[in-house]
Amino acid sequence: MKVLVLNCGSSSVKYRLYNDDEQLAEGLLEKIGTGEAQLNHTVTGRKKEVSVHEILEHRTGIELILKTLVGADKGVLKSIDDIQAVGHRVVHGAEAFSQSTLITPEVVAKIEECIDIAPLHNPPNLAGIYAISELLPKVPQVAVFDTAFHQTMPERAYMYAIPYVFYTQYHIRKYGFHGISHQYVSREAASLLGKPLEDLRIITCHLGNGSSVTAVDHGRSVDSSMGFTPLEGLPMGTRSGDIDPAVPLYIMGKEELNLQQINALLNKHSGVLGISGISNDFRTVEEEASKGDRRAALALEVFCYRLKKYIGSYIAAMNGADAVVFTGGVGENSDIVREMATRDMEFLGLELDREKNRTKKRGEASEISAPSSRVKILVVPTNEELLIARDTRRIVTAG
Amino acid sequence: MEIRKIAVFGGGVMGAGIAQDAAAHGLEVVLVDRVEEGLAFARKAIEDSLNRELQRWGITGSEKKIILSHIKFTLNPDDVGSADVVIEAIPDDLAAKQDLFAQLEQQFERVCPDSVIYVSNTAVLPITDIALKMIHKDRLVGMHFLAPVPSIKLVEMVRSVHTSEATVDRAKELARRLDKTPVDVLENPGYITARLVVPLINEAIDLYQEGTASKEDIDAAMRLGFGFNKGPFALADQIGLDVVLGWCDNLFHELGGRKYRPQAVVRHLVRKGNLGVKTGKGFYDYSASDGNGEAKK
Repeated sequence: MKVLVLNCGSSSVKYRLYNDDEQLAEGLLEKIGTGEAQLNHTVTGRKKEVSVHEILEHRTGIELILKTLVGADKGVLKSIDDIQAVGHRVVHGAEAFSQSTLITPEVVAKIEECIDIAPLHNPPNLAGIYAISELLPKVPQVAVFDTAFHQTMPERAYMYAIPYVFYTQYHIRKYGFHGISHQYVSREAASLLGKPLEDLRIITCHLGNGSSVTAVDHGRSVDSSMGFTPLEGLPMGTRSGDIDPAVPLYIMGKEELNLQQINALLNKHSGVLGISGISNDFRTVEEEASKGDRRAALALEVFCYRLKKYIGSYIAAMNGADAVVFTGGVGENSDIVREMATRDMEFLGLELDREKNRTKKRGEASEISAPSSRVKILVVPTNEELLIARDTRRIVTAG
Repeated sequence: MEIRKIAVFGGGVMGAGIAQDAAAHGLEVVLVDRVEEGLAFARKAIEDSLNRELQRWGITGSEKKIILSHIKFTLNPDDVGSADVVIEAIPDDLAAKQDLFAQLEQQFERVCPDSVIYVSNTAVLPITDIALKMIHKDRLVGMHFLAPVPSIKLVEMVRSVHTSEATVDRAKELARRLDKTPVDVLENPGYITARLVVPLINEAIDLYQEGTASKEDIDAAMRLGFGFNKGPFALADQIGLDVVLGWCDNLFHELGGRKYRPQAVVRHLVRKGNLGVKTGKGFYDYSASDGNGEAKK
């Protein structure tokens, strides 16, 4: 079955076309809303093609992508009618969606209701859904949510200790994000270990410019480090992560900052960038740290120490763990982060094989723990689009 | 059709502020001035304002670059091409505004005839009078922004006797796009804001001059006592004393009440070039401040 996967951001559309699990093409349309929108289109096995277009909105952007997919030169489809289903990544499904869902007018209405708590992300996701409804009206669409996997979290994990009325009135609770990735890599980890996911307790660490850790207990997310928004949890490229909530209040008072300024301070000026003062890119920070920059080294230490504490706390939450999984740009590629985050954890059963960790091949799933390690340590490349394609296929086929 | 592009005529404090705010909200902006100095002033005002916001953690360095890249500065009105909204922010001179809109209408009717609306940022002049030489008078509406435009979340929407509902709706769409709340007001002098703030400032000056209280204490009393963001003296400095004087002159002329009469001290400060925050000195001295409008204590 041919499935188109769309991930619509505020000014971009990422797409992949699958035939079952085989990827036929992928691409990224950037700078939507300008006269210089750039389309990077790659047919699997061929060279990337770059073209520039005037694209003022998502609908015309998606129209361009569809045309490119059937085009005579760069195309991979005979006709647009070959697309049998479209899967959308939708960031926030709040409490309305605990799994991927066939898109109906009622589902669209519920996603629209979630705009209030995801004002930056849900509107572009919806723009993609509206566009496909118009351009391919007969093709079934499926929404795959970033939050859905975490809806299995128990109340005690998601409830904040503030007056309960804020939960009932504004739906303020922990939601967790990166759910598609955590779900995908936990399944992959189980298959790498040769055991059913339902028999395993796995801690998945999705580490990139945004980072989160999830406790996956017998296949179900029971806790995750991101919260009501993606600001909670680990420090990230530019986000503070967990912080004493009195700190922003104190800074606001001292510096007379308004809401928008404190929001930007915590989301865009903090994290690894904030501590190092150098970059939000872990590669740059690692490089500067290796050259002796004290604050770059400190940023890495803070990040890895906090990660280690999350791993430890999720071992406590699940009464043990069978595997810790690293994924995401940093998780898959930084042996330093993996080493620092798992160092001195023998008591909890984690023993890294430093050699395997260092020599691990890029892009491959592998085990990097020592044979004696009670908790397996794995690196598993994530593939959110593939999970979206699979969910879409399953739901449309069952349809 | 979504509003995507605006043209701003006049690179003064208001024109620069509107251009910056629109660019920060993702709109494409062309800023037109008649003279090179006007463009240079606008560019510097926008850069300074963005740098302050950067220092106050409100934006990032790359966001600053993106905002600046959304603004095209030009001396040639023909560089605008088409636009969804054409905004005038030149000094409050009725004849100049009438002529400008007549010209702009000719220019834009050719390139974007159907949906374009015209906006005057006048603080005092009647929109009906400004529309005098226009053919489609229903397309003109007043949007009174207040300085500093990016941080003030209000626009007074001013209709002339000709302004159509469609034009008002479109202008309100722009206001909301800029995260501002539009309030409707008839084109009576001073609208809501100037009409109410002028007597307040005038009375505060009387209080101070008769020796009842110091400027600082008057400001503190209004801030803490009534939850004003700024007291009347700091507020006058922020608005700009030249602007305050203009409002006084106009209201006194149009409405005649003593409460609007320009105060000698304001006239004197304006003559000396002490216009408030923007020149570093007004009722208070800002020369050693952080540029954020906080007076030296």
